[in-house]
Amino acid sequence: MSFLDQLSMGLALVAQWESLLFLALGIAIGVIAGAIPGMSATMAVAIALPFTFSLDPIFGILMLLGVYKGGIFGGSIPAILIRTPGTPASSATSLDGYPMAERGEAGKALGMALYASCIADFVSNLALLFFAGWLASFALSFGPPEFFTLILFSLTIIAGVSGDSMLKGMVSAILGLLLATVGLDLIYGTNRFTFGSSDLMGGLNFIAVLIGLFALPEIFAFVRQPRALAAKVQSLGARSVTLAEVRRCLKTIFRGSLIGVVLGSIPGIGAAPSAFLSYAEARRTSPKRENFGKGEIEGVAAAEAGNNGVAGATLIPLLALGVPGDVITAIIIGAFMIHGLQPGPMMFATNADIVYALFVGLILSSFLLFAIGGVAIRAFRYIADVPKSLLLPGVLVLCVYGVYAVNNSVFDIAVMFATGALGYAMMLTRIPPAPFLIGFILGPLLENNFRQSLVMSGGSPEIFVRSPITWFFWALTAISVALIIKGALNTPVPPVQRTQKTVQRG
Amino acid sequence: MSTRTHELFLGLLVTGLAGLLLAIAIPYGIVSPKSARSLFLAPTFWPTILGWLLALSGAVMVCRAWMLPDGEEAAAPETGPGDGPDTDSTGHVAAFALLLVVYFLAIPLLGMVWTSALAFAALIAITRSPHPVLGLVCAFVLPLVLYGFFNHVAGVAIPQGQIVRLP
Repeated sequence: MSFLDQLSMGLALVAQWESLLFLALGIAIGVIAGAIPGMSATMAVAIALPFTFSLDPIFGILMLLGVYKGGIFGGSIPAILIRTPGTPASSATSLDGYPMAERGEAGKALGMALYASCIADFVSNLALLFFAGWLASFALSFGPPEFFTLILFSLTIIAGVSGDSMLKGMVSAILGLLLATVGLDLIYGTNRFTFGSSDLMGGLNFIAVLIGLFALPEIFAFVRQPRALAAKVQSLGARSVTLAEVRRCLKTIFRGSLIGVVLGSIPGIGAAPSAFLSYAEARRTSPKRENFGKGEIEGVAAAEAGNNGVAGATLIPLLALGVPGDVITAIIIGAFMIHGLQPGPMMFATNADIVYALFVGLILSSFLLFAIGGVAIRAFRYIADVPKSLLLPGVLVLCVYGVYAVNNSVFDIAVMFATGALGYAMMLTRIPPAPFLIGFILGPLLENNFRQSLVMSGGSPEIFVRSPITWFFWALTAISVALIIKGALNTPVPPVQRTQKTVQRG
Repeated sequence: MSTRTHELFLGLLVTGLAGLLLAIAIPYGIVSPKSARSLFLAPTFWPTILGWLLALSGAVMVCRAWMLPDGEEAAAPETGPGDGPDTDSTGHVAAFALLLVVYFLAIPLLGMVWTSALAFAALIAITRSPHPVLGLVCAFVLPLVLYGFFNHVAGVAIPQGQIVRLP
């Protein structure tokens, strides 16, 4: 089947009003959640996930991708208006966005952020459309040994989500890998860490662990120190961005988009480095470089383009290889599994219509984001006014219903509460939760491919070096580990802080 | 607590956890058949590797912490203006942890809807919300709306209690 055939199948699937409705709903939820200080795109995707169970896979996944895209843009609204980035990647936006807001040009900064976000998102989605299928067709020749070495390499993405302590990131990942071994052994069918509990035989529910780890610690932190938003919300101002200003920044936006696409397609790098690299490049090449940091509109465009250029590209390794590129795509991989789909090269053969429908939907999402983002900018004052003392109890109740709905299991609620407490302890000790989640997701894949390979080879480890592909991934892993060790040795232990602010939470 | 003490404590905790895993949890928590064809295929192989990696990480953390200069104080928590150290904070966290335990245990008795409403209200009380009346309204409306969605739209049987049952 040709590329165009697959594309037209996807187009037919996405050309239903429900697809557009759920995509738009997801974007609206994401923008609102991203714009609320204290909520994050990760948390929004995690909480929205259980609400998609009753939907068709295509509608449910489109909605979640909408939440993801909307959440990334939504984070830039508080970054500009109150200098409180909704996501780590929006920090670069606040460098010039907030000074512009202080000058009464918040509307102009937000308008430019919206244009840059939508253009970069569109470019990123095109990259996904053209490269994911190609990469997947290459990966179709992979067997268990190739997948084992690929996943082993993917585990080095933990370095990218470990924040400022690689060692703590490693501990977190090992704990995640360990927790993933709970349940029945797949080869011998014997119990592992079930301690006689029948509830544990199927392993721990991914959604319960995920929501516990990412949503509950925020509630713990708020309970520990309840406080209202103290920052002053800047007014939008009378001036909005002009087309001439957008045209002047187009080169910067496209450069930022390409940086985002390249960095986003490499697992583990994420949006924040991309936003800062794009910002640094724009400052280096701009004739107005002395204005950067003081309210230069090109700085906002560069940061947002770098930030949003990642969004489609992180789905390339997810869809083509089944490897999550960052924390949010790690959650989305769980969503695919819950809807009975296994991301990876085989999905392009077995569910090509859904894959291409997602591509088409994502491209449409860039336009929907433009419309919904424009409304959200004007409505921010109301969004920011939602009291946290009502929002977070609501989040707790949403989490309980959502986690129960996965398996109709009250035990899963206990798992969520327990991992929530663990997540809060990790927050206090500055152990990042993202490597835990990635370890928990990749752990079973790593172990199963390892053991399948050994069963295939009759126990001979030589199978792990049987092909040039395995050699390639071994080499990449070795290079990656060497770079990580070099980086870790050069990084001093940071002072301990007792809040979550500097721990990367996705 | 100084950074050095904190990191040292954390390293020792990780090492201790690895010790417990290797000495108790793996031998007693994993059933390994005697017929396992290869050491690599045994159900204990992977957890044992992870246990040793955890021990190694803990040991490196201890060594790194040991080499840190003593006396460097931990940075202060990032608090907002006028917040100051909250003397009730530990009590709040303990109360919330207790609330979660009660929440879980009360679901079979009261049902998810009423337990959630009470938990919402309790959380508002713990955090001393400045919007108690609105909070109480939300505490009952949100669980009922979610019940309506999951029970009647998504087809998920939300647990009903033994006291008040919903249609």
